[in-house]
Amino acid sequence: MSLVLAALPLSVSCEYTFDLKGLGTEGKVYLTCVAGSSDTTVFDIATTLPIKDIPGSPVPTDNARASLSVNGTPVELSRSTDSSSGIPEGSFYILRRFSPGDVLDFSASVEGLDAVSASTVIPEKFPEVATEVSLDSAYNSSGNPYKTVTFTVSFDDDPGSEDYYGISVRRLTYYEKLFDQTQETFDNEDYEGWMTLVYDTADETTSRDPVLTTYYSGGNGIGDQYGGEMILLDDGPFNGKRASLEVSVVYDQDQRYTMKTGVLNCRYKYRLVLYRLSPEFYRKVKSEYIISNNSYISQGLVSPSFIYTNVNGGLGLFGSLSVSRSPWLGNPGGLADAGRYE
Amino acid sequence: MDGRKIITAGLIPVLAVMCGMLCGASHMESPLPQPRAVTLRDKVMQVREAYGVKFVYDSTIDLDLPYTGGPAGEGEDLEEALDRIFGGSGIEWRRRRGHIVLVLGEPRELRDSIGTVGPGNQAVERRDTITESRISTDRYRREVNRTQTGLEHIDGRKFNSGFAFLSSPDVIKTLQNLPGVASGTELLSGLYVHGGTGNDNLFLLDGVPLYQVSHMAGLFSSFNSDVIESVDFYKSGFPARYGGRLSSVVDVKTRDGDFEKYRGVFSIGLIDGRLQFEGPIVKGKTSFNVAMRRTWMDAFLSPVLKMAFRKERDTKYDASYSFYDLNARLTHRFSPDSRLSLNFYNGRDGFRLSRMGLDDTHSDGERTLYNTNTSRYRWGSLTASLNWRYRISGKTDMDLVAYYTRSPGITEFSSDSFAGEDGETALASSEKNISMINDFGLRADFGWRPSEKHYVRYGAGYQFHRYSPSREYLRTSTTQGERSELSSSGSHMLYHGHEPSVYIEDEITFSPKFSANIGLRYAMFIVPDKIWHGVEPRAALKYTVSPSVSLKASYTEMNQFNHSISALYIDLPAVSWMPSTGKIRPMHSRQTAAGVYLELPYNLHLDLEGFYKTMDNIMEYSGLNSMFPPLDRWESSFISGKGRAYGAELDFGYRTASTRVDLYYTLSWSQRYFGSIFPGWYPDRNDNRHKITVVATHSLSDRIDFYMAWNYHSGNRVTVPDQALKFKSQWSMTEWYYPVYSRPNNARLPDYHRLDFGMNIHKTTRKGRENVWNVSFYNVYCRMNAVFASISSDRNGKYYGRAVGIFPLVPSFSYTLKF
Repeated sequence: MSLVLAALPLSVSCEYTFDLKGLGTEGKVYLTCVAGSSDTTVFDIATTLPIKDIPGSPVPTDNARASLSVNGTPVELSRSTDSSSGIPEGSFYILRRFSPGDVLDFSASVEGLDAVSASTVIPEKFPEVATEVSLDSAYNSSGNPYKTVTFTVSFDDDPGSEDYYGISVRRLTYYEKLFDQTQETFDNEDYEGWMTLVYDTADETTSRDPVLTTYYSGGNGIGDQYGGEMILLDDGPFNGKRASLEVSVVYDQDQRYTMKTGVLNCRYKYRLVLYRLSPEFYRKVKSEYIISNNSYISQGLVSPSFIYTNVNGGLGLFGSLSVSRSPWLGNPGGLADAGRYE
Repeated sequence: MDGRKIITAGLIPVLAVMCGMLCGASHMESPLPQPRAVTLRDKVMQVREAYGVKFVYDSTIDLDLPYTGGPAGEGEDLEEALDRIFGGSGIEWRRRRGHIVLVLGEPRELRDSIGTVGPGNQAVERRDTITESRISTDRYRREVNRTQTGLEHIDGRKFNSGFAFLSSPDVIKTLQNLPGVASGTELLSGLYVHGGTGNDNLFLLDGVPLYQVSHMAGLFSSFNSDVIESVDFYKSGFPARYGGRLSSVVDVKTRDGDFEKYRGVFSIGLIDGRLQFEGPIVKGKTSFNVAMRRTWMDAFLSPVLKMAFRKERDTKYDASYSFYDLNARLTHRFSPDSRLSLNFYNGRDGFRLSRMGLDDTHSDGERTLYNTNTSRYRWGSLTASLNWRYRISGKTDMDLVAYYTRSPGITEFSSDSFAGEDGETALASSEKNISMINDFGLRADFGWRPSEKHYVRYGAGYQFHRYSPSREYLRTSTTQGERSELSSSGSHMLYHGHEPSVYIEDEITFSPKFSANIGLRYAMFIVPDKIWHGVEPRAALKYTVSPSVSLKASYTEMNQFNHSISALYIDLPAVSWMPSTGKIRPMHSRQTAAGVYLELPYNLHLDLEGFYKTMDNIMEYSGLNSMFPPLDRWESSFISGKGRAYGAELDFGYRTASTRVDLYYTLSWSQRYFGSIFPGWYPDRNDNRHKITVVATHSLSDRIDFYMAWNYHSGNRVTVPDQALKFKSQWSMTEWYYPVYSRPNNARLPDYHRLDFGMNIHKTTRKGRENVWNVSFYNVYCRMNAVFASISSDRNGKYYGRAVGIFPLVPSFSYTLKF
């Protein structure tokens, strides 16, 4: 009898549906803008639909209005009428390169919805870095070894502020065709979508940490605005200290292919793209990453509380970043003979 | 650690203790200490000795009331002695087969009373005109007379006649019924008081702080009701002698063992058994009281799991779970004014779950891989304390305590994967997380009554905290018998914190109508990189409009230097306690409460109380997908914010000798503000707008009594996507919606309500042993209240909520023998 009674909780749990109470009944303006990454800053304005009204359509943005001021001075915004220029249709934009320290204040309105406003400050450039490149080993989930290229980036963090950084590695694959005494080169630059990061500091009491705060930027338009993925981190573990960040990517050795008519070298080189992020950008991406990657949320053990937006009266993000790029760094390990292909 | 900080930490309480003892010595008015007041219990024991009879009574009878009758008459027989003892006390006696059965009588007129009244005493008030009033041990009368707001005093014996989950009385579940307290997830021992975080309640067991207060992830509390003397539960108006937590104080006191005879309790229930035994070591001088409790779920959990997962052929499960706790108390009376007690508590939970079988994620299509995953959890508490109470003089008494408390929590995960039928290649990983906090403490409390108008309490304390969480991770590979380490990491943290404190409070009776409790507490928290300190004013006022109407108000400030860090909100051993540091500020609260308390005709009472509370520097986890927050950068995984809560509570009750009905209603709001998470105030997860509890007990006869409790509250808050962006493909007509969250805790689960019922059948044997059979039903009408929730969409893209309820109707029974 006691066995049956004790098994009841395991066998009689049930699932049922209920109406969602207390949710919003009106849509909101959704802003996506990451300023500072290029000469063109795009303000993508969309509207949301209350979840209870699905399927349906949100309030159109045809009559949307927007304004921007830079350091208190209003500036004119243009509006894209089609996406042929690469700017999404209907978005507002400005052709201007902003400088570190510029204060941007944005506001927008769509008829029928609450007006929105948001601000951001263009961050300073990434601190001056010293970079080293080395070849290392790692193991995959099946226990098989593989090699990695490790970039050690050392810099001094500003002790007087909370700083947020981003790092991504870009690899250039280029081919050298050596045929009949002529040389031709063509390349294909790509992002390294898989990076790992460790850090160490000059403080002797701090142990090496295999995983720093790492987040990959998701979709939802944010990545499109600055051009790709990155590892994001805050300066909490090394605030005010000299930090060494080690970024690793999978290593492919340069290969030489010997053809009938000549030699084809497949080579790689890398450069680091270093970002300094505004607090809003970091928090927004972090919140989306946590919600998307926390399995405990779907299990109900955790309710997402990190619902971040800096858009007053609306949703989305108005953030900024500054970008620095390292010079191209060579691929370690030399050129390997890939064999003859005749 | 700076030596000056250590000296500072220790000097303050030492100086305070020396001052206290000097003050106490100076308060001595005569070399001979005054004897304590004689109680009904003393008289009962005299009658028992003199006439050889045994007394039988239930928990509603309080024999610690002062005796107000005259001396024994010459040649007095048993009936005359009983009339003399209980006349005018509200307690009636009846003879049943050689036993004297005591019951509560009907309210009757008082004769002229004698004796003094001091704040906090329960003696009858001195009056010139005696009108009909109630002599009762019931709480509501004390509520009218006490100065503090938000105080619930529960006699330990009442636990065993009240609500009992699976026939086991439970302290925390009793407190969860009270107004102003949210219980969080169903059946777990969450205590969210006036918008608190759940980890901001001070649990004291005989004055010793407890960090782990529940078994089975919160299904049972760590307090064994067989040894509880009383529980004082403060929601507001905290006296200055308490500190260190923001939201509530649960002060549990255990009983001394019987100094005259041996007795005990044996109880066996559906999933646990209890044994309590007490008695004299030296009659009248030294006694012991030991109680133990253990569950036997480990005996049937494994077969239950096999039955539940019998349809899965390629996967096997094995599990075991057990908990036990042991309370022990040794008391020695040096004299009527000096007693020493040694207290010990040890509670432990152990859980293991293994899953073995085919794991498709490792399958390469040709080879069959086997995988074993094992999780182990162990957690508990251990406390030991030495307590010396000494009456320095007739007006001054002293209480010295030295204690040690430890709370470990260990979780281990291991995973083994094998490739090929002969296990050619094996991958193993293991992770072990340890959370440990050790406290050493000293405390000295003094009570001084310089006059009838003042009762001054003062004292000092010192706590040394040692926090030592650690984490180890290892990954290995074994090929053809050769083991190689693939990766390993570990974090071992060690923090020390010194927490000295001093306080003083004065219960002042300005006039028969107006009294106040004014106090001040000063606490420090010293860690290597920072000294935190705070002054905590405390004030409680009471105005007695009439003997049955009083008005009260209070204001308190509290600091909390210890932080419970967890990535989940369920009470699992995945919680680590950490100190305030240079980067993590102490939490702080301010609370104002006020109310009116009425004794009405026809045995009714009505209390109406309101509160407003603010909290600063509360913490929220803002890290990644992990059950355990990272240790060596835990400070940056948490963000601090604010909280506020306000509301009104109503307590309406009816009491007679055989029937008690209480209706509790709470209307409250609880909100949070974390600027780096969300730019605005948002509802707390336990923002239950309405809470209603109806509790009723009734004695049908001397042998049968039953209880009923109906609980209702507005649904807990969850976060669901409540907005959506609409996208349309550039190349096709496909449209899709991207769900967006607009605000934390933006949706409410369905309202929660359930009915519990239980019945006790008593039978007393000729030898005076009492047998009690209990039958109880949890969730009588089987409402599957939502525990977890998410949102889903149907074929039309329409979104709806999806809830999972776990706890159905749960019947239970137990048998208890009191000998």
